[in-house]
Formats: sequence, structure tokens, C-alpha cells
Amino acid sequence: MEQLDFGREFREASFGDGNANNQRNRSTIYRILKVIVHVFYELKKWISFMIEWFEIIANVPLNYLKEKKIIVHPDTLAEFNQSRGWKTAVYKGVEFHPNCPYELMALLTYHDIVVLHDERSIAPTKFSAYEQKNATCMAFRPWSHGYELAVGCAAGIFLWTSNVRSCPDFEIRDKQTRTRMQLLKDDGHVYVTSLQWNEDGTTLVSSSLGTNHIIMWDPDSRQKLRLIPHPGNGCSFFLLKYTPNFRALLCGQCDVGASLCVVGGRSNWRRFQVLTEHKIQTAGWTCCSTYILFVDKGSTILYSCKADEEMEVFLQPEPSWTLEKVTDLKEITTIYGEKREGGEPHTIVMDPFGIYIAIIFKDQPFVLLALLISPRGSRLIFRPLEYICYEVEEADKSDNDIFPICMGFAKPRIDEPHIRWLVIVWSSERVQRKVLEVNTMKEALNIHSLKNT
Amino acid sequence: MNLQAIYDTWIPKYLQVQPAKIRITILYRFVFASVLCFVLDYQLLALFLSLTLFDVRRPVSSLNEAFGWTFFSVYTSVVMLVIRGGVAGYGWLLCNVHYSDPVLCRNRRDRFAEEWPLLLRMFFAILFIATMTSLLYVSFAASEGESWHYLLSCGLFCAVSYFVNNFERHLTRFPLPMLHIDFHAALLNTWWQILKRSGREALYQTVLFSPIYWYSVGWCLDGTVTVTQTGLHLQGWLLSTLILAKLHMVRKLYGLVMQRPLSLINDSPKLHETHDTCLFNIILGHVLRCVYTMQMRPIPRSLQVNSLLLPLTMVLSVGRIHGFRMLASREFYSAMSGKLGRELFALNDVKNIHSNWTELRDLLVTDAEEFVVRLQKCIGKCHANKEIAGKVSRSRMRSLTKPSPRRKPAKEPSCECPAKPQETDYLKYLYLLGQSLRKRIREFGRRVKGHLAGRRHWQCYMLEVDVLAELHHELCCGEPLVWTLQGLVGVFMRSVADDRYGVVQPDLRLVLETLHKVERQLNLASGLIHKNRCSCAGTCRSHELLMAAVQRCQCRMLVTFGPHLDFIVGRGELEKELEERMALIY
Repeated sequence: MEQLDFGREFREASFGDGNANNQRNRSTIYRILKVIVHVFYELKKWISFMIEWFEIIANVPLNYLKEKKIIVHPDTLAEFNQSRGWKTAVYKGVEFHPNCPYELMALLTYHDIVVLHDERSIAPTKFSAYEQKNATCMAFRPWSHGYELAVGCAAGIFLWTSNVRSCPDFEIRDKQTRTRMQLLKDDGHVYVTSLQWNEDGTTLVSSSLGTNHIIMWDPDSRQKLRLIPHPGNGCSFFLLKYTPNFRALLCGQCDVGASLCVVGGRSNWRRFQVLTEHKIQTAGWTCCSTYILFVDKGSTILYSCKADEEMEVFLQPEPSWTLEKVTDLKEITTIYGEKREGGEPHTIVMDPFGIYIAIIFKDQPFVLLALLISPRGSRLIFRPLEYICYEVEEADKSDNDIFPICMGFAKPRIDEPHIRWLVIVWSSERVQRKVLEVNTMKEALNIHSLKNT
Repeated sequence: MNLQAIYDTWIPKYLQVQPAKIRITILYRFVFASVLCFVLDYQLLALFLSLTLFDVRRPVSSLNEAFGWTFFSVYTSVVMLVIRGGVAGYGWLLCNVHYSDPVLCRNRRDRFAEEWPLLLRMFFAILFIATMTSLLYVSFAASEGESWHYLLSCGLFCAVSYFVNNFERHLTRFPLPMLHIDFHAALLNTWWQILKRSGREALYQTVLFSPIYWYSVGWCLDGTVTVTQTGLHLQGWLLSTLILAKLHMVRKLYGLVMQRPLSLINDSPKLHETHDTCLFNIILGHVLRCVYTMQMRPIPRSLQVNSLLLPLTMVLSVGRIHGFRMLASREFYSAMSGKLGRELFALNDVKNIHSNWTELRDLLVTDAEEFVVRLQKCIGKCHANKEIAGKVSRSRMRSLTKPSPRRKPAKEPSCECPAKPQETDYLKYLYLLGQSLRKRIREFGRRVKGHLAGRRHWQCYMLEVDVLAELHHELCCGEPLVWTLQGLVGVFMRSVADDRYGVVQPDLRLVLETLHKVERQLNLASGLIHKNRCSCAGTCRSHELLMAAVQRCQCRMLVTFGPHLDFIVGRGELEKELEERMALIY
């Protein structure tokens, strides 16, 4: 009841002599406290000043203690990027949502702005942040409510999350914004080169040019785990690819070789060294998660690599890898007899349905679409189908200077479940769709009058 | 000595109520972590001795001396024993924090009363370990004098700075394992990382400590000696590095061992709750299993039961042991997620799965439903509390009219009069003395309080009722659902390809309904949290986690099974609601 009498404080404050003394005492105490705080700040300032001088005079490597500033030249980034002409292209990356029944595509621009195209909305959504510079890769989180897009850049990983209602009756939006942003960073984990979400969308793995390890992030729990795919190797990783069954992760090294990390299920995390003598330019998994398809830097040969089948007989053996040449892409002849010069491939993209393979070359203005047949017990068969060129609309414009930047296979839409696309981003700011009406290998073989062997 | 009494007093209650197998698993892990810490003690001592005392010109005699001073010295053995006790105590405190359930704190005073004793205990444990370690190391490095004093203070400073930098007000549990890494590799990796990190931290601390020591203590001894001795500073840095490494490593080691993957088995828990489950039988069973395997004979059922294999249903149904429940649910999720996670729960294996699935499903669904009911109650209470709080605040507003002078209520004769001793004058005198003393103490207390600045504000701050405390508590307790629900959904995702005999798919409706209920309650909770954002402290981490997990589960289930909803749930209210929900996904 005493607390309810608000008038009492007022009365006491107005007429109490003793309180005036109190005020005086208090002000003295406050002054002393203020002086102490001031002295403390001054002392702190002087100590930091002294440390700086100590560092200069005694040449103590205190720089080692500070966060290292790593600067990577854009040329180096372009060298390891899977987009051709990454340094100059207007659109330097493309990514599709893995589960959305509608077409949801993210494009990465020259100015490191992410442009999100949703076929249901009229205008695209754009994400940009001051620190989002030198962006190289993107990955949509599977099974997320709304969309969540991870963007790897120089500062770390930006995670953009849409703020979608989860209840029709409620209109609660966090901070009344449509998108939220979270920056995932770790010491030295700068200039992120590759990102991959796991099957459930609970963890994200990233590689960077700043460190020689990869990091597994759990953005919900705000946890991270450093993984070293190849101990004793001081080199960074530039390419991460999960197998389609999410059991293993291929980590392409910046110098020579690649590592394979078993990460799925309840089994322990194990690592193997594969491709010890090859400097990888680009790589991908076949749909059956058995073959690694890759191309060497400076080479025109497409190789396949497969673990020995005997490996599965023994418990946790050291596997041996069988390397096979699939094809030489120097000169290509399609199944219909059209012949063109190929060259060094820049990037390969595998069809999630396991039918096609698409290749962008370093010096050619077209995309090669081919069938990849994996007959049981024998080597992979590569059958070039067609050259996809830029569709020129203006009569006076030649297509010689226009080249493909990046591409991806988009999943079928809900209203057209039988049609898929190969989406190609060209250097002329255009995005082209190539319709693929085949959903099984059998259909593809029938259409192109090919046999399985 | 009564063993039962010791057990009742020293073993925490949360451990006593658990099934024998779980109790043994936790105790075994604790002992294993403690043994690893003891080994670490010797490793660090060897490092210190080799860096400070090893003489390259006479290596053999140096080694001899080092062995003589460590393994064959009574002093070292006794001090190491004391340090081990301290380390085990510190580990025990860490484990208690990890395993104990979240506590409901309705205001800041409760929180203060809950957290600070624990923090103080932790602080004293760290200080004890650092003091004893410094004493031991310093006794090898310096004789009594200023350098001895300097090194000892350096060690203590190190412990204090470790505590300040690494312990927040809210003590955190050991992090959940994101991936099963080989224990030996993880240990080696951690060892080296922590040593490097401690070296860096210790350098800062030594640089900071030297001027502090020189200004504060050095002048009364002989400060100039300390400042100019470079070797002493190096020794101080080494000592700080090792103490920091030990403190970091002990916490990490306990975390690593306690969060090691559980050996799960898909079996009925009743078979594993036998009375003869004890550590001896388990070790014996392990040996016998080895013998049977070597003789290539089938292992009898009794031996299979007498192992550290834990039935899935048993670990998921444990109560009052939050840390373990979190680990169990995470393990369940890892076992169920992924297309190839068939080691524990093979849907094709109808013979083994059928009976266990029903038990598992009932357990998980009941857990989720109980959580929904608890959350429902909490939300109801929160609304009621808010209404009362609103009424109180309205009544506390000053009236616009002049208040009438208050009359003191006439004193009513109290029914509970204190029994005054009337027998003798002596007792009467004592009673009056006690009364007057009490009165004076109260008056003194009131005066002290009156002189404290911002007393009323402080009181209001401490006693301010957190309207959402109960809700936060329930959400915190329900955190294992983050992983169990995702694991459950993982089973159904696998069932699309694997469930040839329809073992789990008949339960689709039940799971969809449960998920929908959980999400609805979490939505209501989020509404409440948003409304009280200004008055309550921050957002709820558990709520965010649960919301993200449930939304992901809903998304997976509805995207996969959405086109067949009319067949799965039938025409009705639920189908309509789920269809509405589906429209909101993208």
C-alpha cells in the first residue's frame, strides 16, 4: 500500500532539509565516480596507445593477434568461379529454388545485388548490403518457409530470409520487414567460393579462399563447425558438391586434387583424398551418386572417377578410385552429324534427372547439351545433342561477342509438370530458356533414336 | 558408511530418477572425461617443465630431474591429486548446468537468486584450479620471492580474466554435435586449436598484467626487478597459456565426451530395464561378446541386453534431464534424416519395425500433444495475467479529484498474538530485548535503504513480473521437439520411397494434425511475444528455433503430401486448414 502513495515522494522532496544534504553528498559521490570512470577510460586509452608503440618499437608480432585482413584479387576469384567472365558480366550467377512449385530464380548482378524473380510477382525483389561485395555463389535453402537464400561474398555469407506468414489469421511480421538478413562469418573465412545446403536444409557448408578448411553452419542454432577435408594441405577449397543422395561431399582444392568427405547419416565423418594429380576446373556428380565427372585445368578431356565397387564389401576401407576418360571435347560432333570446335570447358552442369549434361566452354559462344548414359558395368557414354546459341533478335547485332556466363536446370512448374528448362544467362544481360520435354532416360533415348549401350 | 545415503546426497536428483542404463552411460562418460582431464594435467605439466627446465646440454639428467620432481615426488603427487579433485568438481558443475532442466524465473530477483550462486561456484572452482596449478608450476620455476609472487598473481589474473570472458550470466549447455567426428581426430584438433588460442590470449593478458602488477604491488616489493626481467615475463606468459589452455580444454573435453553419439538400438525399452543392469555386468557382457564373436557363435539375447546400447524409445522418453533429451532428440533426427539413414530404422524390415514403430509414434505424438496443452495453458494464463496487470495499472493512476485525507484503520484485535512468556521476569526481559533489537535492526535497514540511490527503482526493477516467463519456460522445455519433429518428418519423407508395406504411411493424418496443432500454438505464442515485446526482455530463442523447425516440417510434409490431402485426411475442417496453410508456403 505504501507504494501507491505517489504524493509522498513529492512532499518529502519539497520540504526535507536532510534531503538537500543527501543531494549534496550524492553529488560528491557521483563526481568521484565520474572522475574514476574518466580515469579508467584515460588509462585504457593510454594502455592501447602504449601497446601500439610497443608493437612498433619492440617489433613484437602483435599483428598476429589481430584479425588478419585477407585481400584476394578479383582475377583470382574469377579464376576459381564457375561463371565464365565473372569479372565483367552483368549477371554473374543464377540459382533456382529446389522445392518451390513456381519458378523462383535468383540472379547475381555485377554490382553484387541479388535480383529475385518470382513468376507470380510483377517486379523482382532486390537484396543488397554494403558489405555484400565480390559475391561469387548463391544457394537456396531447401524446405524453407518462404525462401532463404545464402549468398557467399568477401565478408562471409549473407543469409536473406523472406518474412512470410505461417497462419492465415495472423498478420505478424517480424519488425514489419519483408526480408531479414543475417551475416554468417568466421575468422579468416572470407571470399566464400562455394555454398551447399544439406538435404533437409538444416546445415550449410561453405568454402573460402581465406582459409584451408570448410565450415558447416547451423544458422538456426547459430553454431558452426570447422572441418578439415585434407590435413596438412595449406590450400583452400573452391568447389563443394554434395552427392545427389547427400551422403558425401566433394571438396575441390585450389591447387591439385580433391577430397571426399562422408557426412550423411549417423556414420562418423570420414575423409578420403581423390584425384591427387589433377587440378580441377569444374566437377559434378552423376545422378546415381557414383561417378564424379570433372575437367582438368587447361585440358579438354572430360574424366569420370568412381570408387571401386569392392569397397562396399569391407567395413570402412580406404577406397581406391578408378579414373576413366569419358570424351575429348576438342572437337565435337553431335549425334546428328554437326561438327564444331570445342576446347577447354569452363563449367559443367548436371541434370538433376540424370539425363543431360550441359557444358560452357572457355572460348566458345555456345552451350553444349549432351546426353550422359551410364550403362551398368561399363563406362559412361557421352552423346552430344546440340549447340545452344544466343538467339539474336536485332538484325544488326552479331552474336560473336556474346557468350554464356552461367546456367542451371530449373525444375518443372506445378502447372506444367512435364516441361523443364535449361536456363542460360548470356553476357548480353539476357536469360534464355531451353525447353526440355524429356523426363526419363528411356524417353530421351527413344526421341534421339539411341541405344543404351 | 551408508552407500545409499551417499548416493542420495551426492548424485543429483535428475540422475537418480533415470533408468539404470542412462544413469550408467552418463556416469561412465563423466568418469571418462575426468580421466582425460587428468591426463591433460600431466601433459601440460610436462610441457611446462620441458620449456622451462630442460637443458639441451645435459638432456638425460634434465629428464631424470623432471621425472624425479613429478612422478616420484610426494609433493607433486599430492598437489596433482588436489588439482584433479578441483577439475572433477568443475566438470561436475558443468555437467549439472548441462543436464538440469530450465528453471522458471518470474522476475529478476528469482533469476538473480538462481544464477549467481551457480556462477559463484563456477568462479571459485576456476580460481581453485588456477591457484593450485600456478602453485605447482611456480614451485618448479621460481623460489620464494618477488618472481614467485609475480607468477602466482599472473595465474590468478588469468583465471579471473578467463571467467569474465567466457562465462555469461546465463550459463550455457554444451553445444549439440552437428556431425559425428572421430573422437581421436576431434581431440587432437581441439588440443592444437586451443593451445594456439590460449597462447594469443595469454600474450595480451601478460602485457596487460605487467603494468598492473608493477603499479599496484611492485612498489612495495622491488618493482624494478620484475619489470626488467624478460625471462620472468616469458615464464608468466607460458604459465598463463597453460592455465588458459587447461581451463578451455577441460570445458571442451567434458562437452566432447558428454555429447558423444549415443549407441542407439531400435528395441523395446522394457527388455533393457532389468535389475541386473550395472557397470560390472556391462563390462562382463562386453568381454563375453568379444569371446562369442571370436568363436563365431551367435550372441545370446541376454548379452545383447547387457550392453550400453540404449533403446530409442527409452532415450526419447526420459524426463528432467534436458541436456540428455536434447542429445537424444538430435541423435534421433540424425538417424532418421537422409535418404540413406537406414542403419537404425529400416522401413523395409517389416518384421522388426512394425511393433516398435507404434510405440515410437505414440511417444513422439504424445510428447508433441502434451507440449501443445502446456503451451495452451500458458498462453491462457498470460492473457489472464495481462488483464490483471492492466487493471492494477489503472487502479494505480492518480485520480483527478483531490484525495480525501486518509484515516488510519482502527487496530483490530489480532487473533494470532505472539505467545508472551509470562512465567518469569528474566524471560520477559529477554523477550523485550529481542523485540527492541529486531526493531532497531529493521530501523537501521530502513535507513540504509533510504540512503541508497534509486532504491525504489531498483526494487521495481528486481521485482518486475515477467508476464511471459512461464511461456518462455515451457518453450525452453519443449526445445527437444525441434529435432524430434524433424526426425519424425524425416521418417515420412523416407517412406515415400521405402514404405512398401505401408508401415508408417497410415499415420500421415495423425502427424499432419499434430504438426498443425503445434504450429497453431506457436503462432499464438509468437503473437503474445510480439505484443509484449516492449515490456519483456528480448525475443525467445527457443521459440525461434521451434518455429523454424515446425515451419520446415510443415513445408516438407505439405509439399510432398499436399497433392493427396483429400485422400490422407479426408474432406473436412483439417483439409481446409491445411490447404490454406499450403497456400502460404511460397
